[in-house]
Amino acid sequence: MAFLITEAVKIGEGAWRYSWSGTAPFDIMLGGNVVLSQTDNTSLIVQWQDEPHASTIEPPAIEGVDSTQDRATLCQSMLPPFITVQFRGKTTNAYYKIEAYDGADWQTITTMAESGRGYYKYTSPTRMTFTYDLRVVPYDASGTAGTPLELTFFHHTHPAPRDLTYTYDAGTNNLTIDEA
Amino acid sequence: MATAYTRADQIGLYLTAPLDNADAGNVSACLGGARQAQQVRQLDAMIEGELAPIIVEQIGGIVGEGSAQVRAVSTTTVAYTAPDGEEGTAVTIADGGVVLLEGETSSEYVRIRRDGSDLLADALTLDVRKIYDNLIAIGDVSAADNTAGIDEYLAGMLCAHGDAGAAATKVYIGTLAPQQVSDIAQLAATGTGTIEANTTDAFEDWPASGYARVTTAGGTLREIVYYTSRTAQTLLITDEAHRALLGTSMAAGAVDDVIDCVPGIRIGVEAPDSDGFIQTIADRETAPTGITWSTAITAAAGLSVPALPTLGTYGLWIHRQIPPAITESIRSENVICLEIDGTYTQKYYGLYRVQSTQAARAKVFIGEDARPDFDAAPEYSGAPTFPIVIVLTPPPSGQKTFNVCVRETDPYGLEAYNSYAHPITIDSTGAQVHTALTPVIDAEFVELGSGYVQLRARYPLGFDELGADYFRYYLTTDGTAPDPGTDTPVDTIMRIGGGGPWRSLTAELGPYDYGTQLKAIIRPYNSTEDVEGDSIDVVTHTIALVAAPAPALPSAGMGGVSAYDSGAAFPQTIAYLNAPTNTVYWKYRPGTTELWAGSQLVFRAMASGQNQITLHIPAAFSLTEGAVSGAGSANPVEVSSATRLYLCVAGQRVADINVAAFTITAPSFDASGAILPEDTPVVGPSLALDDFSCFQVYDPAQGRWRSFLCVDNAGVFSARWLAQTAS
Repeated sequence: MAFLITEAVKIGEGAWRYSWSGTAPFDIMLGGNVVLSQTDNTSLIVQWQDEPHASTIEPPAIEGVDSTQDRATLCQSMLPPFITVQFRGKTTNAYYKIEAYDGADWQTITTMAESGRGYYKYTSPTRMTFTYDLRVVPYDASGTAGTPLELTFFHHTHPAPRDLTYTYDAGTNNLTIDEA
Repeated sequence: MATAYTRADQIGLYLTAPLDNADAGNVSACLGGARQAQQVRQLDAMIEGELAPIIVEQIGGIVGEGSAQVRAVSTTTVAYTAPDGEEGTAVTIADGGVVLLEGETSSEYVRIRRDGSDLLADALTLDVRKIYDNLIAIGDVSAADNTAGIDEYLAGMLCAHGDAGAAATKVYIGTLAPQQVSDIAQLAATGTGTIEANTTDAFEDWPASGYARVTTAGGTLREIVYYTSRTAQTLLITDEAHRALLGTSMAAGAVDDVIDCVPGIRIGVEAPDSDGFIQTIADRETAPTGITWSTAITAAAGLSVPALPTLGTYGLWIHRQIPPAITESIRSENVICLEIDGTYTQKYYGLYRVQSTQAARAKVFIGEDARPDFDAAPEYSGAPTFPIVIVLTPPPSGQKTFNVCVRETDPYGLEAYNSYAHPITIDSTGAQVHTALTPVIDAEFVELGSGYVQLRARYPLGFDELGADYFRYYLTTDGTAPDPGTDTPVDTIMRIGGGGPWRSLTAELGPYDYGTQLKAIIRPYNSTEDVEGDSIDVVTHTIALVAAPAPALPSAGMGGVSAYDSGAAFPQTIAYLNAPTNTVYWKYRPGTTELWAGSQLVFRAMASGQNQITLHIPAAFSLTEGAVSGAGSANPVEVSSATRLYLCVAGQRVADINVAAFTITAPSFDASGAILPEDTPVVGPSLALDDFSCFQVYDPAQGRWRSFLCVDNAGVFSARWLAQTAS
């Protein structure tokens, strides 16, 4: 029996409980990450803060697989809602700044120290679905910047649920679904 | 030791660009011309682990995606394991060296460079992936280009980048899924149609949409078509413009036709001129001239590139054809293969996305008295333009809950995977039935003292679609259960605050006599819809207070003195003197202290705020001077009965208060206040000293308790200002 969400109920302001069935153990993904790994639990409470893009109207969406399914088939596994920048360091550098272009200037997102480990990764914290300009700027110990490595991403992932209102008119029996 | 740039790595595919192109080095500039320095990667990898000096330069693509590993076998040697393969032979690599590591076969390889003298240890895990929007992919397809269709051309340059040159190479198109045989249905000579295979699951592993290469059983190319969708057994060609692609012509199919799943590309090679250049096209939609295009899918039928000397080059053109109105896709794939020297294979992958304006949809899934079935057809599917109106059909009888979930699909065909459904319940008349409001929790009475109680409850937010904005409670004080059907409710608005996911009720009630039995039903209430919860749970409490709590005195706040608020110093307080009967009591609040016997006020002291404290005794009482004696109580007020009180000093009665006869008897009355202590450090309405019993009122103007009446052990009834008033 494959993973199936059997219940999704609101249990408080900005809090929901998911329940599911299937053949344990389960892997549960939220926001592109595995939040429950090989668990026998069959429910999870999520809050709107659990995914930056989520709202207090729609819960962060979860996905899961049971022991009969492949985690790689999940939407979040195939197209996670973040990007990862990988670059090769050089031990002659002291640190690297990851910068994002905001349309006018380069804004520093984070700084990573050169540790001699070879490859470095930066994973963006937020859901992004657009073209994104990033660069990695190496600095030496005196703070002098080297030549940046500029990267342009077109990142695309599954759409987030839109905040909608559901209004029923008893006179017409019409259910009107509109943007909140 | 496997030398870099030999064997399967003896030839590489590089970007091209016109010599004067400022965008050289980018895929968009690959319009022919000269070879650039950038080699096209067959695959790429996200790399985990630490093998610090090792840099991965090129991953052989014959195995495709998966998990690979470069492992330090010793401090100077490393070995490679390709996806789904076995570890190959370890190779020594020196600082600054470049080596070729082969896996289980010679076409499974990785070229690595060592940049550092640190001893080798541990391993790199390579999450090998195909690459989007590289030279092989050509690029993403916009909605506009998809609508109109587009042909695009880019060029790469094969280069013998090893010291020994490169052997003759064959170039061909890679297939994307297992080959099948047409059987039940074939395309006619023109028009749309289907291709149906001879097995029920023939196309199960094929992409949801894509290109099919149809050849005769004898191997002659018949036609390349685009299928917009498929079933497990059938390809659907729904537009005649999707036929005769990539240089082929429409032709009727036949039983036993061979069907291959191919990318939408064809390739051509071009020998460079003496300067190593190939022709340059004006833009990517301009076809190069003089090219013999090939859609061959085998090395034998592929294009031939002769053996090349060291750094010798040969142009490779790629033509991608997007016919009008193809199916949206987040992952369409091109593959080009090289067979080198009849022995080694390279496989170059490129992924691209296809937009379609028709793909952007909003789908409304509705489950009736159940969760929506996302595998079933949606109740509504259309452009994501809001509002969307859906008619709900009331049930023949009873109620029905419609659980509604909207999932949107973007122009690439990606569908949201949200699964939370919003419930709408209607009855047989079509009226909406609001789901019963969630009952309050933690309902209780909390005794505050002096006959006062606080009625508390919490309403959890977010459970109810409707939501409540008031607490509504029904209260009885005679021990009977409240009846929401007949009792008058009290509504208290729910105020924001508290920080938690709930609203809190804190209603202060009282005072009540000792032993009073309180019962309450508390419900959430929505004032807009006039809907209240249906709980009948009764919360019960019996007044059990026998002593008043100490009042809280106003105090200085940190960094300044608080402004005095008489209402905030301490609440009105009841202190019973004859528990458990509790008919005689002090009632005091800032500025006032009263002594009551049942419903009769005995006296009231008032602090006026102008440094005056006045004792008022109801006019009904007569003040009589006379001896009072006998053992009394340690308490300044002895309650002999409900109507007979004595004021006592040091356990002796010194004044007699007869509430029934309305007399106050004491040896003497003194309105000069001569014996009144000015101040006491003790809080409360009465104070027993060795020689005095004092009675106090809290003076809010001075922020302290002050005496208004004092009785000494000689029975002098002394007040600073004494007056008799009507009540």
